[in-house]
Amino acid sequence: MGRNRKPRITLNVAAILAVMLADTQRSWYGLELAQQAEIGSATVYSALTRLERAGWIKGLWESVDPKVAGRPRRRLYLLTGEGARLGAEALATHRIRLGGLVVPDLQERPA
Amino acid sequence: MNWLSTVAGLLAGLAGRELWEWLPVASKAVIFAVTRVLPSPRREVRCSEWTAELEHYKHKRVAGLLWSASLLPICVWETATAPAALRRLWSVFPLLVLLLIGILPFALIALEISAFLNLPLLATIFLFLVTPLVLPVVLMIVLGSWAYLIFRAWDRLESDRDRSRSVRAAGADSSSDPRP
Repeated sequence: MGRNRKPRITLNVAAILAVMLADTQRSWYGLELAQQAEIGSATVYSALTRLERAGWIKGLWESVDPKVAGRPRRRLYLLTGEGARLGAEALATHRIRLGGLVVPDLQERPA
Repeated sequence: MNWLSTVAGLLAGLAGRELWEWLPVASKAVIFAVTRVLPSPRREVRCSEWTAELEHYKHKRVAGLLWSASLLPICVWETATAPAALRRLWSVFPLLVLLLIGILPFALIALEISAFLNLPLLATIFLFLVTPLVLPVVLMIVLGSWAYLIFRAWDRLESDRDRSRSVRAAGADSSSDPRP
């Protein structure tokens, strides 16, 4: 398995990393991440797979009793230690790279 | 026609309020169907994960159905980019070669016969289209099922070998462990 290979930092991956890095102790489920990161509810899984294969996040099943909760157990994603470190680095690099591409505010332009 | 009225009644019922009730079941069925594309261990994980996340669309049933259908490209992408995908492609390659080899003689035979017998146009079209297309399809089904069985057996053998290798590695690790 191609584990621990650095994942390609696409905009979706960067958005997910930004959300997860805001609280490294918290675990998220796919659609919740999609909402928070404001990305497609289906495309979030491709990004999560990429990060999971790289070992940056790990997937675990929610520890609730489905009968008590009244719903099936969710699959949660949690940043690994390595993922938190490398993710923060990658995000910083990504921000620097995108910094030059930021479009200036049109309202500031003289009429 | 009694059965026709029964079917019409059933369809009318489904098209009514009951259809709304069936949407979550349909979404679950779609998730089950699309995850069949994935290889085995991943298939069960994804199926359970997405069925659980369907709860997110509890009050948006149509959106849930659309979302579950939109998961198909992800399954295809995951299967294609899985580390074992290349191995799987190579196992299909001999089948493709066999198919090409299978089509060629049929096409040649059809050509020879039509030229030799000086057949009318319809018969020639039949020979050119039906013989080279239908028979390779039959051949493909037979060879395909054989290739699938061989692939399954080989894949199982590979995973068994991987498992025994990891068990051996774990044993070596524990023997070198200095802890009591």
